[in-house]
Amino acid sequence: MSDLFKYIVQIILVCLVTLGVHIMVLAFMDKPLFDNQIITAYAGNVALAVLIVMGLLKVPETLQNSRGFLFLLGSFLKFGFFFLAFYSNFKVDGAIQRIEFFAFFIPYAAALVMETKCLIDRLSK
Amino acid sequence: MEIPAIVGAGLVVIGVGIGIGRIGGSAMDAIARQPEATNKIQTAMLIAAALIEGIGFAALFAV
Amino acid sequence: MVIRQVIMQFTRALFFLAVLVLIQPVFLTASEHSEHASDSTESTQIVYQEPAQDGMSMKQEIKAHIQHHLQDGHDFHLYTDTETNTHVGFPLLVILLDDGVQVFSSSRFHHGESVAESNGNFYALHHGKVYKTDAAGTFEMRDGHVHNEKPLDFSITKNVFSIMAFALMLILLFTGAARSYKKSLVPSGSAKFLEPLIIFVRDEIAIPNIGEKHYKRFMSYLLTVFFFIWLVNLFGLTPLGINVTNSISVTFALAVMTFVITQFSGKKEYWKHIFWMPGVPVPMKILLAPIELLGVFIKPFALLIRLYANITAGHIVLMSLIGLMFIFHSWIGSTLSFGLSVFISFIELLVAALQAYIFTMLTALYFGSAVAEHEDH
Repeated sequence: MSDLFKYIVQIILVCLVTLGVHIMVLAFMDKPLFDNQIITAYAGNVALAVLIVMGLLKVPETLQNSRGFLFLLGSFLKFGFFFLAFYSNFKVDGAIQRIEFFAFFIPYAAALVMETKCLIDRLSK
Repeated sequence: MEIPAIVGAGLVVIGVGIGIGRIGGSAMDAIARQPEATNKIQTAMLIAAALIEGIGFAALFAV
Repeated sequence: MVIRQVIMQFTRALFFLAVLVLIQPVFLTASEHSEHASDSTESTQIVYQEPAQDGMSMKQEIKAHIQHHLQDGHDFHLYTDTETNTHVGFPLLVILLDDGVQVFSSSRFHHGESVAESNGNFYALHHGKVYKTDAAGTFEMRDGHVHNEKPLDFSITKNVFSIMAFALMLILLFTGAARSYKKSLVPSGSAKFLEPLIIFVRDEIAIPNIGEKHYKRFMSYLLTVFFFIWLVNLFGLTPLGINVTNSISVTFALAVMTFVITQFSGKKEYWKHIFWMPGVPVPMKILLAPIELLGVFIKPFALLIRLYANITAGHIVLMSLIGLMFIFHSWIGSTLSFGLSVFISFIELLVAALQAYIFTMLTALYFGSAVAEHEDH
């Protein structure tokens, strides 16, 4: 339990720090701060990362070898999340701008790094 | 002047040709040196050639 | 004695295939031949006597023919008699998801010449694809593309029909082979032909790449893939005009299956080699992880492109050489291109087996890397 708690705290901390830097960069560039569903992107990615980490830690003994597969499944889940919640909103003006892309990609990458770290820890045990 | 993408694909195909040629040549040398290992060498040669060939096709279809 | 019989069977099968391949140029061009039957007597004397205008249209006709051959179709079209304008073939089932499910026979399209009506909806074909139209069958053309609505197409197309037929054929062949082993261990019937091939897949592909310990789990998939691709490739060389493996969606499906099986049977060591490569310094580990993760997807992608491109390229080259006969239109050029097309047909026989072998081999290699235990580290 403590392991899981540690990972969740780590994920939330890292994502909060990333969010802070992200907002600061946006403020520095004189762009609207909380546009493009940035909060939803962070919250959704953190929630999914927590879900995947829980899956990685609580996986039954018989499926121990398939943890990497679970990780890949989690990535597909995130793509599904992106297409359901973001794609249509981003595509309203015809194309995905760079700022819109980063609004989703930065929390995605941050959560992915944390998940990968968790997976590596598990695999190295 | 803009260079069309197909020229790049042509360059890739030249590279692929040289690569597969070298694989075939080296395999010939190896078989000549060790005829008893022919089967193993052929398998390895086919795999390497197929991997390189994949790059060539990817370049052709990317155009 | 058994070996001799196997060889006999094999040569018989090869002879059958060679005959089929040899027939192909004659068969494929039968529809075009009638058009030029009238002037063939003069043209045997003079090389390149074709007028430029006619030559252009001939080239376009050949191009259209090749493109038609490479496409999937809604009816099983064998050939067209251009003189009487009759199509030889049989219609297949069209299933569309649009206002509920629309099911009708593709004969209603009349080979793309007319509009099909089903429950008050009208559909028409454009370049082998089904579009929703009005009763007159007008296409909204903008910058060279059709902008009509496209219904979700779940039709039994030529490829789907062929895949089903081949699946049935493989099931019959292999259950027949399996049944013969129940009677005695000496193979009889189709088992005589299949046994050496199955042993080849086991001893040359599965065991060296996957290892003695785990290969049995993957044999069924490897055998299925090997025989399916081989059979489909071989039938692509017959005059039936079947070309399943040069549809990218078929090879995509095969590659997805390989991908999923590889990832699902991946052991701890496999994932460790992807995310945290043992035995290299930490900065290299961080650098290698995204590359390796990308490689996981690139491997099956290369697999699907390789099979698709090889077979498509083979078909295009073969059809172009056959088309050259009509462009040369002289006894020297046409004979040469006929000879060349026969030669390429034999090369394609080799390619058909080679591509099946390489696909199976690389699949086995990926499975092997997934289940490897790396005790040597």
